[in-house]
Amino acid sequence: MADDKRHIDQLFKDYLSGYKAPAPKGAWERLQAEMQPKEKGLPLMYLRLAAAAILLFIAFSSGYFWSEFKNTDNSTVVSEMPNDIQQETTPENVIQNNSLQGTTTESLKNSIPETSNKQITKTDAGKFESAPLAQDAINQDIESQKQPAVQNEMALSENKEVLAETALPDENTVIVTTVEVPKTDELANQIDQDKNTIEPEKMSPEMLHQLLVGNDEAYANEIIPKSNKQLTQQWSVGAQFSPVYSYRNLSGDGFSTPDEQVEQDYFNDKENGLMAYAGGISLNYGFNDRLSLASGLYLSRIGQENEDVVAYDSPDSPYLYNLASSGGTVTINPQKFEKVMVREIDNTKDSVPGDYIVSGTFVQNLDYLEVPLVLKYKMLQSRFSVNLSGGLSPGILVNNRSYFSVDGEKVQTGYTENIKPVIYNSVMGLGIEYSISTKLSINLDPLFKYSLSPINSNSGIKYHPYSISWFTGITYKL
Amino acid sequence: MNQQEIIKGCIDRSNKAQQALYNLFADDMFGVCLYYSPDRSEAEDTLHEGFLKVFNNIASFKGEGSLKGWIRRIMVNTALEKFRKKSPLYVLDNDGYETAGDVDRENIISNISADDLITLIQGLSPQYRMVFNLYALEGYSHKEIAEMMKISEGTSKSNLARARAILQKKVKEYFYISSKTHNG
Repeated sequence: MADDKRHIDQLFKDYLSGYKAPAPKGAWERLQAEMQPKEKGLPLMYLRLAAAAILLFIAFSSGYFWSEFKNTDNSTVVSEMPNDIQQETTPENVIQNNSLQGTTTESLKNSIPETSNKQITKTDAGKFESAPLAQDAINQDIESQKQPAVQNEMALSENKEVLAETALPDENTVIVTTVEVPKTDELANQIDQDKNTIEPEKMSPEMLHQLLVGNDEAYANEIIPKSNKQLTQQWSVGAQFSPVYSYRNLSGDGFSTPDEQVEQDYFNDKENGLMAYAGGISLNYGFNDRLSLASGLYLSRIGQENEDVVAYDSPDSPYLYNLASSGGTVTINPQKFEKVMVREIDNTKDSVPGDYIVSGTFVQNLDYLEVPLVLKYKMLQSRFSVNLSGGLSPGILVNNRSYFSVDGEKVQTGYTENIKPVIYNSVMGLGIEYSISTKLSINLDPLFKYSLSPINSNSGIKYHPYSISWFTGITYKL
Repeated sequence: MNQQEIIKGCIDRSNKAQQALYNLFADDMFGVCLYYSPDRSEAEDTLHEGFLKVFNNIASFKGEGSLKGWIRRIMVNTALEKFRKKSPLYVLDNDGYETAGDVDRENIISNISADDLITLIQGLSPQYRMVFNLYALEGYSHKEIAEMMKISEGTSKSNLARARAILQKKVKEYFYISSKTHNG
């Protein structure tokens, strides 16, 4: 017996010692290709990050400057000032094109509301109410009074001390401050005598706001009545990303394999939902302050995993196996899946192998390109807004794949059969949005999506996927 | 380029040196990978992964022993790692086996080749194949094999016996001079 052992060992040792076999063609090239990215992976990653950062910077810069340009054109007081005022200030080359300083002359006139004007003219120690001033704005206002082009220097400088005392603890805080103007009579007279005097007009909240905090309309939500805001019909674009938990709802009686009848209870027991991701570009159109239509282009993934997938001989071929899930069937050649399709050995003396048993988690993914049409309604409207949304989200199947997950590896198995190319989802959600500025906002939108029709066909089980997602993103108003 | 220059070049990630090293040992190592794998496809994977390890760890080669032996150990270890990843999936029945009797070298047909024997080895279950290779071809003890494969010594012995029995049977079945001729 010992000799037998030595003989067989020695036989193999003799023949295989120093055994060579020509290395496969292309093996070196594959090796080389795999080694190169590792060497260059890091710089390449940085290059990509840098490129992305530059693109983002350019995009936001363009948007910002475009936005600023537009604001300057539309809202600077200088452009709204009568020609005679501009003609007076321009020759001095001091406050030309300076909207803030330009504002001062007018605003000082306008900052005395009609009612206050009456008080000023009638009383020596009258009072007027003013919204708070940021220290910079105050200083600039005061400084502007020193410009030679503005002839009312004396009167304003006499108000300097009083105004300076109105410094606020927080420039973001909007409160009402009462400022004493001991020389209001003189100021009023000076203004009246000024050649550039224009008819006093009632100061609108927008103008007051511009005077106080500049053109940052982000604060306008808090002090400007909604009715006075600009028309809110506008487009906005953004980018959204979300983790997605998806699973499905089953209906129907089940279906038969060559060995057994498989019912939905089995699948409900063995299959689980899975986490994936979705993302895309959003495009919104606001009809008014509250109602908007949200659309865009999104790539979303749904799917499920199965710890104990049903496997049986394919009726179509003796060499193939069918892996059956509630969503559909995947046909594979088990010989190519040695890692997961383990051949049972009933008896080691028996040279005819038994059936295959499946080991590993079977995962099915379906990727859809969706174009949602969702109506959003702002229930709460402020810097923090709360949105209620509902609508449809049809999608086209762009990727259908399945794989075994074994020891952290993915062993691709092919596609799930009889999946319809289109999905019709209903969508509803409740989200919040926070306005960073006039143009920019961020959002968090939990969404629930449910397929209105089964996505599979030719099966005794109807498969309705649903998903819960938490979209977060950024939106830019055009 | 001599071996020292090749090693130094590989440490410096010289593509030329890496290719020289590959050309020098690829055929030998592919031979090793073939009898540690169930098929050619997995042997290619093992060769690929093994050489990646060689290039990534060449700096750790201290020159103790031959470079070829060092690379061969990496290939065997790579095959072993692949086996370990799969091992829980394989169902083995170690109960009973029948021996096929003595393998008499004189009775083996003369044109048997290493390729034929590799085919037989590849036909073994992964665990039998691994134990047989490590014991019979690499010269490891059962204790060492047990540690490497995370099995008991008893299992290693049992697997070796089973592998031998299967190989003996198949050698006789396919490569012996036919019993008629032999007996006659």
